[in-house]
Amino acid sequence: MASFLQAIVSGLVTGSIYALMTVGMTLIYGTLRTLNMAHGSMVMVGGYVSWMLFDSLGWGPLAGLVAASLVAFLFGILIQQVAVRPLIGKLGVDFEMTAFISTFAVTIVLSNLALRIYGARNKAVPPVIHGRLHLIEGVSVSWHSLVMAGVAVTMLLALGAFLSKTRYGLGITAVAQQLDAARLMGIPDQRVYNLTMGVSSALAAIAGVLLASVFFVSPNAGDLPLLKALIVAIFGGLGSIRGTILSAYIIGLLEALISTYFGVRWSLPLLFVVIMVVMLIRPTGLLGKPEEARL
Amino acid sequence: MAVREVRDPAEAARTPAALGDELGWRRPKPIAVVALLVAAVALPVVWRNDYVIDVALTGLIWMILNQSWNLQLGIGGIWNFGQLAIFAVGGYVSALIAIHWGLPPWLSMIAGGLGAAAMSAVIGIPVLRLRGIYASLLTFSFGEVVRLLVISDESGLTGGSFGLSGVPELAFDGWSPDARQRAYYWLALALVVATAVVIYVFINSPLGTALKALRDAPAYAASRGVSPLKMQVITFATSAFIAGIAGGFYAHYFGVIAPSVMGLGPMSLFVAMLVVGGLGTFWGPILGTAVILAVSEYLRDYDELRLIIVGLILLVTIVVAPRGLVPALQDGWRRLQRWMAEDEAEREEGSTT
Amino acid sequence: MLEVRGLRASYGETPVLEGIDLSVGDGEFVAVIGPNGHGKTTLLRTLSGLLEPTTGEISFDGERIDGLRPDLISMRGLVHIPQGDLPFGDMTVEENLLLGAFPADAWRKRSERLERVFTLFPVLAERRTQRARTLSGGERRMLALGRGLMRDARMLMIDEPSLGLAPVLVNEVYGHIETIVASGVTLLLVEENFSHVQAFDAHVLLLESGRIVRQGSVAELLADEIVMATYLGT
Repeated sequence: MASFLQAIVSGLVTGSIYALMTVGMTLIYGTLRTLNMAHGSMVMVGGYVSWMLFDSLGWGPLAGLVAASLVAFLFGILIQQVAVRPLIGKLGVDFEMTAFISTFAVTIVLSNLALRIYGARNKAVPPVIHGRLHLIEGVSVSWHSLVMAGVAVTMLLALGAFLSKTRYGLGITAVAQQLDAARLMGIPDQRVYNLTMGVSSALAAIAGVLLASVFFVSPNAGDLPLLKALIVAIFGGLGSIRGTILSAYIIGLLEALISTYFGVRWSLPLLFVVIMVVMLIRPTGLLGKPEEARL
Repeated sequence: MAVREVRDPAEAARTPAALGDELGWRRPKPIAVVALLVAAVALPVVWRNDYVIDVALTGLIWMILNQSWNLQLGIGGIWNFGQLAIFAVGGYVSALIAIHWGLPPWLSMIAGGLGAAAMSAVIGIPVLRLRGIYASLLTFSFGEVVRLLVISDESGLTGGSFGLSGVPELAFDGWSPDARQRAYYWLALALVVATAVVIYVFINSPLGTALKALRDAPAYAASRGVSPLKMQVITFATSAFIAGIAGGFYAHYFGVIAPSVMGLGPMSLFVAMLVVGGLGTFWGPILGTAVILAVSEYLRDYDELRLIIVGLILLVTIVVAPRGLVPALQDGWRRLQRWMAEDEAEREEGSTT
Repeated sequence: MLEVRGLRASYGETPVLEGIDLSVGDGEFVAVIGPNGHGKTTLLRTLSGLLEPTTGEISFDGERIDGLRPDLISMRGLVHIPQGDLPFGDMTVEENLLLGAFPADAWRKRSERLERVFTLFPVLAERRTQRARTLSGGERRMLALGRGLMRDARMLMIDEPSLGLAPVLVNEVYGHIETIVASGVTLLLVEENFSHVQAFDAHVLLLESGRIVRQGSVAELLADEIVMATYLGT
C-alpha cells in the first residue's frame, strides 16, 4: 500500500513538471501549427543557465529561474524568426513537415553547440533544499520535488491568467482559433507568434532549471523531455491546454506506477506502447478535435 | 496568408512522364549516367585507399537506405520516422539467422528484408489513417520501442546495447582483404543501382501515380477509387524490404549490428541527407547522401563542429530551398538554358538589322 | 474617407475584381449590392487587407493602405465585420467581445464598451459565459456586430448581415444597423438583396462580374425602371 501511495505522490510531482514542460509545445502548435522539435533544447538551455549562474557566481535557483526564462524567451523568438517564419506561406511545400524538420535542425545545432561549449560531461546542480518530508509510513517526498511541483503549478496558473485576462493572452488564443478574425481585430500576428514561442520556451526552460538537480545538465538533456513532451502533447490533444495538463498528470502517474511495479527500465518502453495504442484508438488525444488527425 | 497549404486536386492526376519529370528524372543525358556509373565502379581500383573505399561503401549502404526512406517520406508523403529501426531489424534478423541457423548470408539477407517488410506492413496499417505529425509520433515511438527493447535485452539474443557481433561475412573468406573490400563495394553499388531501378519502375507505374495523388489530394484520390490502405502497405513493405536488405548488408560487412544505428543522433544525419538532396526526387537521396557524407568526412576531426555544420546546412536548406538541391539545380539549369536561348535570339536579331 | 481606384483582385489564377472605383465620404452609408459570387466579399477582404490586390489604389483618410497587413489597417480604424461572422468558437461570448476592443485605447475602456454592447444586444448578455460555437445563427450575427462595435471604428464594413437569417432576425439586425447609421458611423455594407437597404438614405453601387455597373442614391435607383427590372427585381 505504501508503495502505491509513494507512486501516486511521485506521479503527481512528475505530472506537474510534465505539464509545465509540455504546455508550451501545445501552445505553439495551436498558434503556429508547428510541432516544435526544438522544445527539448529549451529545457536543456534552462539547465545550463542555472548551472552557469551557480558555477560561476554561486547564485541559487531563483536567479536561475529568472535568467533561464529570459534567455529562453529570446531563444524562442530567434527560433521563430529563423526556422518558422520563413516557411509560412511558402508555396509547393508542406508547412507542417518543413517546420518539423527546421525545428529539428535547430535542436541538432543547439545540442552540439552545447557539447562544444560545455563538453560532454554531466554538470551537477544542487537542489533548492535538501532533505525529504515524511508523510506517512513509507511515503516521503523530497523538499525539492515539492518546490518543483509548487513552481510548476504556480507557473501554470500564471499562464492561465495571462491567456484569459490579458490583451495579448487573449490574442494568442484568438490567433490559434481564427486567424483571419484575429487580424481583423487588429491583433498583430507576427508579434503573437514571437510572444507564443518566447513564453513557451521560457516555461520549458523553467522546467529545465527545476530538473537540473534531479537529472544532470548535459547537451542531451533535452532529448528525453522532447520525447515526453511529444507524448504528453499528442495524448492530451494538440492545441488543447486543458488536454495537455490532464494528459501530463495521467502520464506522470502511469510512469510512476509502471516504475514502481515493473521497474524503471520499463517505464519508457511501456509508455511508448501505451501511446501507440492511443494513436490507434483515438489519435486526436483526450481533448483534441477529431478533424485534426484523420486524413 | 494561410499557414496551411491548399492543394489543387487537378494536379494530382498527372501523367507518369510528368510525375517522373517532377521527381528529378528529367531525361538525363544517358551518357552522364553512364559516366557516373563508370566512375563509381572504377573508384576502388583507381583510388587505392582502404579508408576512402570504406567510407564510400558506407555511403552506398546509406544510399540504399535513403532511397527506401525517400519512397515513403518524399514520394509517399508518409511521415515515417522509424525507418532506422526497420533498417536495424533487417540487420538483426539477417545476422541472427546466419549465426544460429547457419544459412548462407545471401539468403539470410533476403530473410532480413522480408522480416523488415513484415514488421513494417503491420505498422503501415494503423499509420495509414493518421495525418502527418501523428504518423510521425507513431512511427518514431515504434522505432524507439525497438531500440529500447534491444538495449534492455539481457537474454544475450541481440547482444543488448553492445550489439550483436560475429556476424558472418558474405562468403568472401579466403579472398585477400583488398579483393574482399572491392567485392563488397561493387556488390553495394549493384544494390544501389538495383534499388534505383526498382524505385524508378515503381514511380512510373500506376502505383506511383496513385501514391502521389494520395499524397497531394487524398480526398480527390479517394473519390477516384484509390485505396489508401493497399497503396501504403505496398509502399511500406517495398521500402522496408529494401531497408532490411541494406541493414543485412551492413551487418555482414561490418560484422556487427548495434542499437547505436538508431535514435535521434543518426536520424539527424539521414534527415539531412534526404532533405539536402531533395525529398521526393529520384536523385535526391543519392546526391544528398554524397554531399552530407562528404561534409561529414571533411570535418571528421572536428566532432561536434561536424554535427553543428550538418545541422546548419539542414536548417538553411529547409528554410531557403526546402525542396532540396536537385530541384534547385534543375531550376538553375533551366534558367540558364532560357537565358542562353534568349541571348541566342537577340544575337540573331542583331545580325539581321 | 475611403477612396478606391482601379482595384483588381484574384483568387489564385481566377480574376474576381475587374477594376473597381468607389469612394465613401465621412458619415456616408454606401451599399454594394450584387449577386453571389460576383465579388462582394472579395471586395471587402481586399479593402481590409486579408487579400492582396493585384493592382489598384486604396486610400483611407488620405493614406494608402493597399498591401498593408490587415491588423495595421484595422488599427487605423477601418473595421471589417466579416461574412460568416468568424467567431472565436472556443472562447466565451464575453472573451469574443473583449477581443473586439484589442487596440490599446479601446482596451482601456473595455468594461464600459462591453456594457454598451450588452445593452444593445441583451441576448449576448444572457449568453456571456457561453462558448461562441454554441450560439445560434442569429446570435452569432449579433456577436459579430457587437464585436465590431467594441471599438471607435472610423468606418465599419459589414459583409452580408442578412446571410442565412430568418426574416424576423434580418429585421432585428437591420434595426441595429439603423442605430449604427444614426449614430454617425461611416458605413460600407455589402448585400445581395437590395430590399434590405432601400429604406436607408444610402448611396448604392451595383456590382456585377467584378465591376460596378451602375450607381446612385436609393431614390434614383428606385426610380429607374430598367435598373429595377434587370438588377433589382424581386
